[in-house]
Amino acid sequence: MIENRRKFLKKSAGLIAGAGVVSGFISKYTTGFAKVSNEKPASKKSIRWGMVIDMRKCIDGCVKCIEVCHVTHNVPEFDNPKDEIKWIWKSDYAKVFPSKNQQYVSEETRQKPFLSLCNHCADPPCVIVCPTGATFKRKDGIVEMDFHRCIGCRFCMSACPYGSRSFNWRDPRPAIGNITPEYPTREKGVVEKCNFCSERLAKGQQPACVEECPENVLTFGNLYDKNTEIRKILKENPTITRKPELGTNPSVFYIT
Amino acid sequence: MNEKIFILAGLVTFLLAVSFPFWQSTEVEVLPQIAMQTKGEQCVAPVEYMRKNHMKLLEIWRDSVVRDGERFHIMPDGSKVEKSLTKTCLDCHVSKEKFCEECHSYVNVKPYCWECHVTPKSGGHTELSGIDDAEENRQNLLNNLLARNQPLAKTIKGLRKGKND
Repeated sequence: MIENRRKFLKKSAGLIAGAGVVSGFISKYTTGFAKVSNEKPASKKSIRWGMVIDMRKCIDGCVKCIEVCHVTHNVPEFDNPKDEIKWIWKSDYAKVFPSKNQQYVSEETRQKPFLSLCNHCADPPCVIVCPTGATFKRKDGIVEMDFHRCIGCRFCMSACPYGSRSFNWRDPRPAIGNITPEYPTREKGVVEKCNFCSERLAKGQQPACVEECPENVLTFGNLYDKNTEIRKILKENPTITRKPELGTNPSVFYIT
Repeated sequence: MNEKIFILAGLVTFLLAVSFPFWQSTEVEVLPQIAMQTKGEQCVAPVEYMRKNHMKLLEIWRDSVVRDGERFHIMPDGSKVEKSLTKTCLDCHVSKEKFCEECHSYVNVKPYCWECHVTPKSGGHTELSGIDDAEENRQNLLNNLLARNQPLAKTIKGLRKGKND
């Protein structure tokens, strides 16, 4: 009856090994299932907001979208270009599309000032670098700023390949002519950028720039819904995105 | 023996100096008078809770609006209000000076809400600035635009005329 040391060790080693194998199998299958269910939360990821900018229709010299955006969101206007704050702006073709993936672009296109705004990338580098989580990606694809948490380190500004972010070097309040009370201003030391009018989307309205554009240059909609206007346009027209080689997967598309 | 007098005098002066804060204010303390005048009939939470925890509630609201996009608060009676200090709280408690600052200055706390959030002109805005007010908002926006940008004013005036015709 009395087991010797050798037998005892043999038995216990066998038991432990057996338990290890069984638990290995269990964890493999359970985590496997968990992964599968993680990939498809279906209901939560049913929206990805996006925008198509049809530059063929955009009028040279018209800045209505910029004006309405900057008034709606209390974007200050500083005299010094160094302090400039911009949510949506016009820039040269060469600056918006510096990648050499398009050759022999027509002179007309090259001369046009292209509308630029935050691309609300599917893989936003700004979100990765933000140390406080002030910049985050919403379930509906919008890259949102929580101004309360921004410490003004400007990592996001160096991470953003599109220059979509501006820093408040000075107190913005005095530089806002007529404050729109519905939207807060920012304070000195905070980064800001386009928010795809998330406060208007919550009320079921289109972004201000889309609504204001007299030429229907901008189309806004859910990229995940096949029946939307934006998907129709994307299907029917060849579109390009900014710096596709970086793999940020922008949600803003251009028709040139 | 003479030293006793000095020691006693010193002690008395010391005690007086130490107890100075306790006996100097003989008058009755004036507590801040908060404006209780409100427009609505019910608060978003019971008054007792709000008195102690309004800052916590505002923080919860802030996070749920900004981080989770949940913008509406269900009132005790089941109706919905926007989770907004400027649009909901100050719409009912009409005066920011009397409702917020009276107390805050008394207890010497300096919340920095108003560094960014805009004090409503008449205390607050419409109850639920939803789609119903879209046209009104639009008009306000246009007026704002006009005030801020004179060269643009002409084109917008033109637009407006076109609409009215």
